[in-house]
Amino acid sequence: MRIPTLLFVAAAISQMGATDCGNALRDPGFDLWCGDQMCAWKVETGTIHKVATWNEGDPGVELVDDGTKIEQTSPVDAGDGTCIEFDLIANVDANAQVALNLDVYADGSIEHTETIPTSSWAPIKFKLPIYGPYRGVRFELTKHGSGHAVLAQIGAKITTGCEAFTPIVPAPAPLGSPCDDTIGCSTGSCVQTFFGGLCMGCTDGSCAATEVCGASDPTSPLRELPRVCEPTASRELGEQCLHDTECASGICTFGYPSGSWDPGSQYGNCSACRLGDACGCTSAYLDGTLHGAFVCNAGAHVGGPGSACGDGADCASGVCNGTPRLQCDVDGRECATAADCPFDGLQNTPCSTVGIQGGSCE
Amino acid sequence: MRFLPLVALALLAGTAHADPAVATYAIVVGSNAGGPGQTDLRYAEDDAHRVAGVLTDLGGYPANAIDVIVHPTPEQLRDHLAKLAERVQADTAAGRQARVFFYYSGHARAQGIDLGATEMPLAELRERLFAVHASLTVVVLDACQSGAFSRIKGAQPAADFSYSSRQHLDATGVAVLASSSGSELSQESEELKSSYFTHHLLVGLRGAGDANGDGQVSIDEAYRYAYHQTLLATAETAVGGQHVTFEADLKGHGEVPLSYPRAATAQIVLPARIEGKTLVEDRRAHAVVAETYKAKGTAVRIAVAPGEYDVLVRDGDSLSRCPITAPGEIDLAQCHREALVATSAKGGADWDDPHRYMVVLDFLVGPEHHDAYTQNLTAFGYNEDIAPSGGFSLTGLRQVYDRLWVGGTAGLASIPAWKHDIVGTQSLSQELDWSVATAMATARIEDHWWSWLAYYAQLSGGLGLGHSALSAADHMTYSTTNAGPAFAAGIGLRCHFARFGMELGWTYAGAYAVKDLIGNTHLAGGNRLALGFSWGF
Repeated sequence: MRIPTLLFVAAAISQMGATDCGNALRDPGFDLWCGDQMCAWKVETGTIHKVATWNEGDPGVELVDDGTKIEQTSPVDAGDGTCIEFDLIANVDANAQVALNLDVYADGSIEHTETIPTSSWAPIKFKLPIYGPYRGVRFELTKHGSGHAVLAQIGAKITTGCEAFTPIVPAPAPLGSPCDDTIGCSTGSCVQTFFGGLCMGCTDGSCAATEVCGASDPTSPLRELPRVCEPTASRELGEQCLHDTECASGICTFGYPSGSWDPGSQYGNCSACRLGDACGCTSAYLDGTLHGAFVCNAGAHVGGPGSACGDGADCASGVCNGTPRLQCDVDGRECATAADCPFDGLQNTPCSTVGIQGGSCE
Repeated sequence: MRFLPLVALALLAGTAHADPAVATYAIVVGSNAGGPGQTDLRYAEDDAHRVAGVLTDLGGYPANAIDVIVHPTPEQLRDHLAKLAERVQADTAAGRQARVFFYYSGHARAQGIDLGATEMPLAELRERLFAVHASLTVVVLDACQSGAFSRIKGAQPAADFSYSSRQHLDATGVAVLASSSGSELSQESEELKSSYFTHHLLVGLRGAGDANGDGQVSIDEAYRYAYHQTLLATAETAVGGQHVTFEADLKGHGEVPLSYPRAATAQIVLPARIEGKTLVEDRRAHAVVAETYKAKGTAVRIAVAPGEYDVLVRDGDSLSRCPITAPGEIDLAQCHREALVATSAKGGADWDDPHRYMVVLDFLVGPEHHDAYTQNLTAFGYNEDIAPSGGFSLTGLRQVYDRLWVGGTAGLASIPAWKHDIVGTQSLSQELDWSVATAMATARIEDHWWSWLAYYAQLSGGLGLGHSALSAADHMTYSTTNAGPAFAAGIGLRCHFARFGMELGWTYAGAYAVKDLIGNTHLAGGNRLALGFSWGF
């Protein structure tokens, strides 16, 4: 175990390129299959089949059922560019209607729908500009009707030359997203920070006396930690935090003193002790940006019943009761699999166990 | 053809070999140079030297009495004839008879012999030969109006020199042996490195023509031998059969011997059991010194210089090589069979034997043709490797008529890979590797600019097999093989030295043999630079 190096995750998200050589979509050719499901695309509804296209070894995806939807969320942002060129190859019957939906910010609101015309493997190209500053786009492909619809390719490349087109103006941005006066925020307000406008639910000192402007759980790798007013001492051991006052234990290890937080800061974890306390204070899960709850005598198998724990090894009984917590390595968002953690270069990042949330030794 | 009965000058000729009372002189002229509109000959001057050699070795002519004149001007020839006349005049004054052998190999036309750019009129040559006043004059003319069939085709050749010469040189004490009839053209052989006529005449003089086995070859025997062998050798050439002619106006009796092979220091004896076309090759010089058809039942002696020889005997489809040291007789136990090789090639500028074969190995390189198939690959995100397409082809050809060769071509070409990386992965990609094999019938038209440089046009058609292998993201390889029509058309230059040649050309080759699942067929091929190596046999 090594001393954690804390990353400025938010800064990284906002400043590093979020595409693969300008490509906004991972596996645009539907070539990656994990069994009978696509590895890079998620099926929202309906059924898909892997089918051959020009060659048996270069598959495409057939949207089988009426109402089938597949999607992929891309971390592309305004820093990459605001003009996207799409190139599609599809084989779409006349009695099938295929559409490409763009959900800017990936917040569930479809800002633009482009109908894919009936075609038989003829390349289709078009450009769409997106008004910035945006971060993240969910690309959704839908099919309606009974006809066959096979998609072989949907490239989405950041380019230029969109001046002639009317830009897509995103719906008001969700918490943690960049914003400006035009877009605004769906909740909270657009607060100017060092990195530009950011939708925040609160600022330090703006919450009620019984509340603190803290960090709720990350909701997307595309967004900063949502800052909302939370009841004081409402977060249990192992949960993410910014301030000590958010935690029931009163300790937010790696947290920041009230008033010093900015979007470039990292989150901490509600803990039973602070790193450096003379009780063997550490976490069984401490590697890079990963960390669980800090407890005394972590990993020493000495914790008695009811003692705070982050892992079974912290307890004499070997059992730490609580809720296992898995989160994306890169941003701390809760996850179930790596597919929930797309980030750098459109690749999935690991979804790792960081111990037990709200743990107490048996 | 008029054939006069020979009246031998037995006393004169028979004693010429040993009798100092008879002076023997020879003027041997060879000129490769062609006149206006004529292609240079290749072996006329070499033939002159060979004739001189046989006259020295077997004809009883002292070396200092043989005047070999190569590529002379008319003035030079006049000078030599004048000097000869002076020598004969001196002999006559001294009471010696004189025998003159005049040989000419080169181009000729109806009215004269072509000594390079200048013609010497036949009438003048006749008068100057008569002016020598020899007791016996033997004139051998190997005149060729054109050495290349391609130059002959469609032309109207003028009367052959041999025809004209018979008319102009018939005279008392004169015998004229000419290489072809008045309406024919004389030919050279690249394999023999000689004209057909002179080669067979000399083989006859070496002993193959000694029909009665008396150890000497008379002018009658030499003619008969040269007539049959030349006709046999040229019967299947593109130019056609060549008929040697002989006319004489001789007084006296007995035969006129031209050579005495029995007196030669070395002879090769072809045993009576041997039958078939027989070739005697000087092993060290790699030169054919005799070629004859050996009939079964009678031994044949061929006079040669002492040394190592190979005797090749072809009977039907079998070929036997018999090593021999001259003088000596072939030991049939030493003979071994070989694969059939070596037919003849026309000298001058063209092939003259239709039974020729050539194998060409070409290496081809060039950009790949782009079409809907490759556009589709691009649309699917694939990028073409910058390498050009490349491959090779092996062509086997048989000459069937003059400049026309037919045969087959087998080829294999590799097309640059097309590849696309899978976006969002660090190392995954898909790559299409493909190749095309073809088997085609081929026709080539080839003609010569010079004896060593030819230009050709070639057309092929047949079947192509396209093989593609897609290395997919799932780490599987998906192979596909399709068949389709294939073709190739090309032009180029080929230079050759003996059997080996090199060629450089342009070819457009293609095979509709690579297909995808959505209806596109790739014409695999394109413009190709062809560098090849040929081997003729």
